[in-house]
Amino acid sequence: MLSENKSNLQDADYLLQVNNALLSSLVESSDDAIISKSLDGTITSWNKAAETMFGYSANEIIGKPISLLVPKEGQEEFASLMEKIKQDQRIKHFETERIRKDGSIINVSVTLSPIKSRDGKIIGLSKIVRNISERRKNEEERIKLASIVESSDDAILAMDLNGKIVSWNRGAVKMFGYEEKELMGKSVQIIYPSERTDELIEIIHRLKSGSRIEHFETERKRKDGVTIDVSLSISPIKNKKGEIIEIAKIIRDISGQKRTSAYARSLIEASLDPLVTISLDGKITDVNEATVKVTGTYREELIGSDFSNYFTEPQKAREGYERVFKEGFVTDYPLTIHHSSGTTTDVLYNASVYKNDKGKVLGAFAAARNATRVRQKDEFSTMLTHELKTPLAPIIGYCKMFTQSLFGSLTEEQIDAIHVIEKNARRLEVLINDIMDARKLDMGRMKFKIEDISLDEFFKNLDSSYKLVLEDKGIKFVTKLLTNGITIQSDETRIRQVLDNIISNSINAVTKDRGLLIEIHAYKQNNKLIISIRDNGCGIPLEKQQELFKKFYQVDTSLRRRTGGTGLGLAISRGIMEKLGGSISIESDGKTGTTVHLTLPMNRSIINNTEAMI
Amino acid sequence: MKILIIDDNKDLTKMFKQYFTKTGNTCVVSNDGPSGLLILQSQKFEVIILDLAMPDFSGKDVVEELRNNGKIKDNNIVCLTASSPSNEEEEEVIAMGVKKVLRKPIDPDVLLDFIKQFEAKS
Repeated sequence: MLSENKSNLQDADYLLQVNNALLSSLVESSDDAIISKSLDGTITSWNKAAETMFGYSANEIIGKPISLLVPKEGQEEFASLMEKIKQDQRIKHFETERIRKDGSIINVSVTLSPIKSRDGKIIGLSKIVRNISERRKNEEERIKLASIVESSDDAILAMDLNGKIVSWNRGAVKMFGYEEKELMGKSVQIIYPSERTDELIEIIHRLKSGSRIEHFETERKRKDGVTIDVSLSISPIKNKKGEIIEIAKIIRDISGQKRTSAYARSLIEASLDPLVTISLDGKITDVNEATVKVTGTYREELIGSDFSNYFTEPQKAREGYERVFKEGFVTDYPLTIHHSSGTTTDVLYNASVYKNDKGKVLGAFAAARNATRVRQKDEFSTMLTHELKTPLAPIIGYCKMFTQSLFGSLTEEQIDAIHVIEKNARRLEVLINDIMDARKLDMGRMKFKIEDISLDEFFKNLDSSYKLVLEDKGIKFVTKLLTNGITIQSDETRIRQVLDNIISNSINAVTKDRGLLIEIHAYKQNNKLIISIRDNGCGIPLEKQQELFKKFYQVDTSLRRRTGGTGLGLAISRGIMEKLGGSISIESDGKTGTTVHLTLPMNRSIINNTEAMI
Repeated sequence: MKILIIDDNKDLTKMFKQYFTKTGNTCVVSNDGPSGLLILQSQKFEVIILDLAMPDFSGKDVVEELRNNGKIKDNNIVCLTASSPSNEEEEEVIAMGVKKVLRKPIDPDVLLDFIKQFEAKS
């Protein structure tokens, strides 16, 4: 009997032990923090989840006051809670804030219940704390999102998989004129124009198959029956399992945009010049009607194909747009467009890149000009030059024959008169050449021929052209060269033209009383060729040096009549030097002579060859 | 030396003919390309002075004709042009066998000095 009792007691004890073990494993494995404390607020137990949630280990915190976990502003609230518990009340899911060991605040939901002794006296509290920060954040997100949806100018609506409207924002009310309550549960087809009702089935079908629809341009109908141009973006709303439960639709009114772009489009289409846009990889992204005509290829076929396909020299076309993307633009780039019928059209391309609002290059816009028309203009000026020069040849020729006494000897007076005729004929010739050169430079159509130039030979030729002629006039012509054996890459004829211009100015500047001397210096400096032309004439006043390069400017207007200069020489010289990648500058103190410095690159890599190709 | 001038500018050919004759040369004039070619069928010249820009039948056409019938190597052709330097036409005729392209207006004495190099050594 006694032993039986003992055994019963042992069983109960064992059961209790099992229960305790079960309980403590439950407590330990809970995701909620489970804490117990004595009535005076001293922590007496602390599970794993509490360690993770608050950052304190059980060892650290057991025996410490629970108020450690309560933020300052929550202390009063906490005290009143404690009072309630002492009066044997249970507190469920009370939402408040608690403080972690690292000082950060977490949102928690707290359930408090008293722990009673066997005789029913409250001896402590158990506390289950759930971290609801995440949930709070989600809620806030949702509220924010809802307010965004409500404040959007775009119509945002949701529909179920049968096309019934389940939500309808303020933007939709404004755009379509229907209130939300009018449409809830109604088919979205109410905003579809009758001829487009099939679109809904298509949209739902595509959404169900998992694809999104972005910026789909179509039309929708307002409550008042007016049709508007819209752009749709549609995406599925999924539940946690990934099943599509609803469909979200964002509708933007693009009627205004459409009108503006229709206007721009009509301008583009009206252009007689072929216009295209090219993507970064050289594919045509858009064309106008003129491009369709000049290539003999349909728009649909052109778009998406390689830009270079439509030229007689595809490689040159590729180099063209590569240069656009590298340098930002090209001007007057010559290409020949190939028509599908086999005919060709010579064009000059102007192209530049276009960017998005963040400055990223999206592509290039290229406009072609029919070069035949441009060439006709050039031919006209060529003709004009020819016609103006033709009468000069016999005039000068006959003058020569008279002065060489081929028609018998003349009196000094007669020879003088013939000299005047000849001099004026020559002046006309120079003027025609200069006007044509100035015009070509202005239009960027001067031709350059870049070749290796041996400076030894170049200066030998210069010397032989001037030395004897000038010595006849009593002018000393001296060349001082440090250019032995040097070769440069440039246009010999044009450099010579510049030197001839400057030397001719020097010849006019020197006078007997100052000494008749013209000196040419040439040397290499910093990988550039410097040629200086110095005379010991009267110099050029500082204030007039700036004006020198203007067309038809002459320091002394009476000089023009005396020497027959055209006033174009320096303007042309500067134009040529710039095209050759060099520069020209003038140095003079206004009293004792003038030095003109020419600077030229040693090789062609520096030369701006854009116009030289045309 | 014996010179043929083909140029449509009659004042110019008259002047050249007088100049060359008075300086002791023989000069034949033609004022259009086809008659120039006709003259070349029966006569030989030490130098041909040919204007490039003539109406209807240009100097370039004359050069092409001479090249096509293989006569270009037998003739020293010097072309004249009133156009500006480095034009394509100039490069083309040089490639076809023309000795030199000179720019108008050119002084008769300068031209004579230049063509002296073609004088047949007898």
